[in-house]
Amino acid sequence: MKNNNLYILLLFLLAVILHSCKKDESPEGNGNAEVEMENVWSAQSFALNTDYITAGNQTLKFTKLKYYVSNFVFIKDDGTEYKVPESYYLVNAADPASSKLKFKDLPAGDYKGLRFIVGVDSIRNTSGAQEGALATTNDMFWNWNTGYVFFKAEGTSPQAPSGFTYHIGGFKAPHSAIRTISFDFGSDRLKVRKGKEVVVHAKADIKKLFNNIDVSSPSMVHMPGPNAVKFADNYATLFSYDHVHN
Amino acid sequence: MNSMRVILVFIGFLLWFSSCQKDPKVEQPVRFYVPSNFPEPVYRFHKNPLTQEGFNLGRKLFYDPILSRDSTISCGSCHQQFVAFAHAGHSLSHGIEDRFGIRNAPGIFNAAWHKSFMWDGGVNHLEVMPTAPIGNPLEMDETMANVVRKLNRSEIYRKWFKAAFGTDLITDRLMLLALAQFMGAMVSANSKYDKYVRGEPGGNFSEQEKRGLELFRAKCASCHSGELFTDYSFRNNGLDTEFNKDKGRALITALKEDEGKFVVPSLRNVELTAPYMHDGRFWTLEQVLEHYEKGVKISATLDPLLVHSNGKTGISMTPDEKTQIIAFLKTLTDWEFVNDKRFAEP
Repeated sequence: MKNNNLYILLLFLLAVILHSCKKDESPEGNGNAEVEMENVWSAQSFALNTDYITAGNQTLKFTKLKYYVSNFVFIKDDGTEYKVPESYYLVNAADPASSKLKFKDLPAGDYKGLRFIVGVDSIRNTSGAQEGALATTNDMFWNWNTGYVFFKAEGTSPQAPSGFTYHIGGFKAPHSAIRTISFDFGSDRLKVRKGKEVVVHAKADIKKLFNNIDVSSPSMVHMPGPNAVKFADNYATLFSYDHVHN
Repeated sequence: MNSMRVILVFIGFLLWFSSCQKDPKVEQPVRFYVPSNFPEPVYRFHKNPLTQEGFNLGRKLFYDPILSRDSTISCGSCHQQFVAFAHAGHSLSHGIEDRFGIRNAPGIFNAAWHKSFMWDGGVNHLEVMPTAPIGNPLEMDETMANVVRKLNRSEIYRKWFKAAFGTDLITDRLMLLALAQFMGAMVSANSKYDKYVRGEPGGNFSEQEKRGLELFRAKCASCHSGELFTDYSFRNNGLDTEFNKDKGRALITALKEDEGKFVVPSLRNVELTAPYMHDGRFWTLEQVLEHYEKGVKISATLDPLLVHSNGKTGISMTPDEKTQIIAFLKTLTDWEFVNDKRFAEP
């Protein structure tokens, strides 16, 4: 009789343990995440109105640096993907809060990576008036050749007497400037849980935007085309995963 | 059989009654419709349902100089209803501080059927069309952010936005939606020609007009095709031999093969929308036909339809034929549209 009771108790404990184990495998509910896009210049931090030297030994000082990242997809351990609806973000170096991209209500789980595009998908470039990050009041919209500027860098340089103005965008072949970025967290996992906010820390190395670029020619790019594509190929390489905070 | 007759009589009575209601002096409520001789429109108000309040707001905005930097010109300054919303007497668009643009302000009508906007097709959607003239330094020279700031400072606009969209927090998007409602509802489909093809009263063509229509179909309709009288393509119609002054479509596509190409304009209301061509260089329809007959210049991107197999360019027309074609073109004027009070300055 006593033994039987003990068995029942043990079985019960075992069930509780198993149940909590299982819960750990697929946590329930939704949690919040943040992706912090830290702009850097190689190993230095990046700021406007500061001199930086490019790989080609040109000195640049930025007055504006803004870019769109959008269409975020979070990838779970088991390979299933969560596409974040309406995920359009404008990172603006003049507004530090804008580099912290907020994701509300991500399904809880362990994530091994994420994917996004630099720029704005072609559908939103051709669907009329938009809002939020995509409002035309954000100074990232070409009104004469309608579509979004994906990446905007402006500033001064001794090598560019009237300054440099790079407005990079374009969603149509053969001059699409949309680039897909994938982050693999390696052995790290982003553990999204109910009632928590976890953080992915990523870096955007602005120095790489100027790989093989001569700011003296052209000093200005302001429409989709072959020159914009050169910059797009560069910004495809400048984002990297750094670490997660769970 | 008898009940059928009763129903028909009843429908007839309804039609008669509703036509009675249409007093031309009274402003009719706004509506969007697809004329029976028109193709399917591109813009269908799916995400921007047309309402009287939204339309009224769009109309206020269209005629309000608040959209320009120094509050001197409105959309209506360069798009005048009596000339089908083109700019009478102006070759080139006329901006603030007497600045002049590089292109002719086209008429506005049947905007819901456009695949693109502007002479070079640079604007891809009706809703974002107004951002181009607002932001153009040679036209309104204003930023969208500043327009929105000015509108939010106006108590009366906040009231109108609230009525149209249920919020008095004015955004660029809501402003653009209101303008799209106003311009999208501008359907022009009651010309003599429309009545002729639809077999309606007022659609009797003279022999000259009939002959003109035949000639038009044979000589012009491969580009000015269909009931909108355009295929919305971009073509070089032989105005120039080099395009450094204005590369046209190539400014948008960055493609050499698009240099000197401009959109084929609709010919509806063409009698009213002079001057003609992207730079308003021709003042009369006679000059336009003269160009097509013997003025077409050869260049790398000249439209192949304007080149004969023997290498000669242009469209052959006798003086009589030109007169007949012009007589036909004048049947494309929609007097009801240019006098429709709903589209007038409020």
